[in-house]
Amino acid sequence: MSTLDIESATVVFGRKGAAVTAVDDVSLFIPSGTVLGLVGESGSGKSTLARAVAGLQPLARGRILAGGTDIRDRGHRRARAVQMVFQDPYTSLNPRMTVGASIAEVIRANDAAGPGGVDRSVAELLDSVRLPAAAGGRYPGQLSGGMRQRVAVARALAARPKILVADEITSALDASVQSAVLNLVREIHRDLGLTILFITHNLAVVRYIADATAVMYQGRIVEQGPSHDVITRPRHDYTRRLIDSLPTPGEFGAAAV
Amino acid sequence: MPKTRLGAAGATPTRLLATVLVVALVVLAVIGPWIWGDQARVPDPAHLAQAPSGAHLLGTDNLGRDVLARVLTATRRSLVMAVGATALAVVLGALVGALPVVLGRRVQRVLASVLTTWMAFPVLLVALFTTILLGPGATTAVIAMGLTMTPVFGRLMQTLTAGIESSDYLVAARMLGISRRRQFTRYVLPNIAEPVLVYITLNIGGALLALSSLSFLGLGVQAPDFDWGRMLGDALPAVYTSPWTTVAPGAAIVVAGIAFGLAGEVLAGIARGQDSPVRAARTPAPAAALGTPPPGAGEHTTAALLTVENLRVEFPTAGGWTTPVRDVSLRLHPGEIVGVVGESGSGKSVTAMAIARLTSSTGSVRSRRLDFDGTDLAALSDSELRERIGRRIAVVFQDPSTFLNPALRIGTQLTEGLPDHGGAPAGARNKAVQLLDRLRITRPETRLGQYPNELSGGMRQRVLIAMAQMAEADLIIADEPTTALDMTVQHHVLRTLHERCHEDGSAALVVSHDIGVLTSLCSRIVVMYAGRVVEELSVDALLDGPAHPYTRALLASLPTLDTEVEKPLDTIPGHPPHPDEPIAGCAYAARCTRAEDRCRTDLPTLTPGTADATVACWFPLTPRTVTPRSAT
Repeated sequence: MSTLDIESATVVFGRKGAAVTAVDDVSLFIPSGTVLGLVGESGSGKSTLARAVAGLQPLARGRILAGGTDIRDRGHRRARAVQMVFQDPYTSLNPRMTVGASIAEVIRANDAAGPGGVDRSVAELLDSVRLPAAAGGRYPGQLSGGMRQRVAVARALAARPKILVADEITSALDASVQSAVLNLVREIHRDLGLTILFITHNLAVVRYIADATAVMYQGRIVEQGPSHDVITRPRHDYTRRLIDSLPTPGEFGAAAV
Repeated sequence: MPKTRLGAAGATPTRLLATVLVVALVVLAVIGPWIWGDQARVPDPAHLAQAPSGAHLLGTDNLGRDVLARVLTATRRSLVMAVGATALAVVLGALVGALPVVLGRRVQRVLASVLTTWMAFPVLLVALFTTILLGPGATTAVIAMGLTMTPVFGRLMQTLTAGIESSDYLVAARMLGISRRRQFTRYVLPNIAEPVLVYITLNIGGALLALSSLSFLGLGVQAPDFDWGRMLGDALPAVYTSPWTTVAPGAAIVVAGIAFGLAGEVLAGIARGQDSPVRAARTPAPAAALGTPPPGAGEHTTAALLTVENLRVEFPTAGGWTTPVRDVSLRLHPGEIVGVVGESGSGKSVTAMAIARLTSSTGSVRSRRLDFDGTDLAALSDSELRERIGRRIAVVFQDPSTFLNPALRIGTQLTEGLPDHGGAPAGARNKAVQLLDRLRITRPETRLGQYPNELSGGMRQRVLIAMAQMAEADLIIADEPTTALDMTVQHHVLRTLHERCHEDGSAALVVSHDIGVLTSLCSRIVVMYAGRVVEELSVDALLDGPAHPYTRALLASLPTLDTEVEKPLDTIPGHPPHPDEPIAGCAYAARCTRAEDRCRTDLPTLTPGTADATVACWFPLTPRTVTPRSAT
């Protein structure tokens, strides 16, 4: 549906003397309808890059093209073709609105109601993230973390985006809930053909979800390629360290008793 | 849901008094002028300046009007003015303080400087200025008062909205194309409403007092109209001849001031109280019997460092007691690392905190046995616990920043409070440097002089582990020690914990939601579900295939480097029961693919299964070889 083209993106925080380059001349291309996994540790700049793609963080240099148009263009901004799902579903939903109202509001703001009207569209969106329509009447505080993250996904989809940025969307969730959310992302990707930038620090997750993987380290992309290749034949030392860090059963040997 | 909070106010004496006073004032404000209005206004030359009597309970003023009637009638004007001034201040304050949050950076900066300038203006100057410009009168007084109160409200709302500005939900709303008007009315205002409401109530009292002062000075309400302040001012010249005329309006001002002050405090208390636990005193203590002792209980276990039998933790709630931990039994030997795994709400963290004696004071912790190296932990008072156990039990929390004192240097926190035999300060310092170095913290010397906020999360977590090591703790209780950390840092922290136990013979109890992390670190895993232990097994047994369907589901749902990419990941349908939910039988039955009728009626108890596993399941699985995760 839409390619995502990041060209020499650079994000600088602070002024001259104390300037920190969080994202340093990053170029990435995500073909339409594919998933790019972006891995790296905290402070590597991956979340800053995600915010830049979502239009929340201005670039010092470079540009980001969504479906060929610069995301800074007015037309693009109005189309809201890029949406983001945040890491923490406990803070990304308005605690004073029912989740149904939160989703309905986005549908209205974007004139995105289907033929059955707004309420029908809300129910359909909830259904698409495998939540019962009754969940729409609940407040975020009444839902579990996994359910909230589903709501956050449904709300992002309500704006009918072509590109979805998922910033560590499973890291605030229980391990047992993570797999269900990952399945959901795959289903949505398959059903809607979205282009997805999926950010995580877990290589096992990225291997499962992403067609291609880029590894970010200290603001730069140090390695990228098909996920399978990056994980089975890592070239950069940092990628190798990431792979070695995955917990392995009995890794440290059973402690002496 | 938010609506019930204010309504749920219990009847403490203060709440009752505040409610009665405010309601009385409002009722008087409505009906006062209708009933006593004529009496209050019409002069009566026959009864000038009379002392209190049966006919005039509070006497009459110098025009013969009944003082009581005038005070009651003036309630409306006094209150309306106070409320009006406050309302004006709230609206203006919201425009200057809260609205900018949705208008963008530039507007925000401009309005912030407007607010600062406004704040710098002396209150009296604003009042006088307004009076000079608009001429004395009730409306002028209200506007003047509103303008002087505005910056205070503005600043409050500015501070409150600063927290919302960067909140993900407002950022999301912006990105999703929600209009600014709706961002303001649906996202900003409702989320600052509670504290602002409290502040409004508190300030109505203050406004009333200030407006009375203006009227008293002749700048506010003008004759023939009157409010309490005006009455006081009019009565002042005759204070020696007819003092009763000053007492009543004075008392009215004081009472109204107290009423709104109290009401504000009560509202603030309710707003604060919604997060604090219900007082235990209100509900009778729980008395449910502790379960039957676990297999092997009472055996002579001198080798065990920690023995927990039938631990039960309960907390009071509005509707009774909730029991997040039921009948948990554990045993730890020196040098052993035991993992406790479970989903949110499984009671794993509550269990760990209860063992560390860190349960909040409202909770009830009971057990058949809570024994640490021969000492009954449950029987110790807090001071005995400090004295006898002291730093022998160390706790590592998920969020290290809440445990480290932000105002103290790392070095101080590592070395202070060490037992006297810890050696000279210089010795302690050297030891700290060595430990940090061993934990692979770069430039350990420098770190000792730094504050916690100068360190990364992973470093802070390692500092906590170093603290446990400094104290030479025999038992480390770690609650989600790596959940907030990156993979590589997590790996470091796990290795550190392991080395610590391996080399010094300490034991560790590690709580996590991630069974993968625990299998890499621990020798034994305790699986908790809905407050109970459902399976306990060695990592070897776990790799052969756990017997409990829940443990197996937890393992299967984790993506690994061997997961088949084509298939959907295994999931656990449904969600864990709420601790309050009454459950007959096995709590996991509702989500279990193997559940039969018996599971829904009879509670399975922990029974020894294979060599090194106990399981609470009616239909346990038989071990099979599970492909171990590749180390690559």
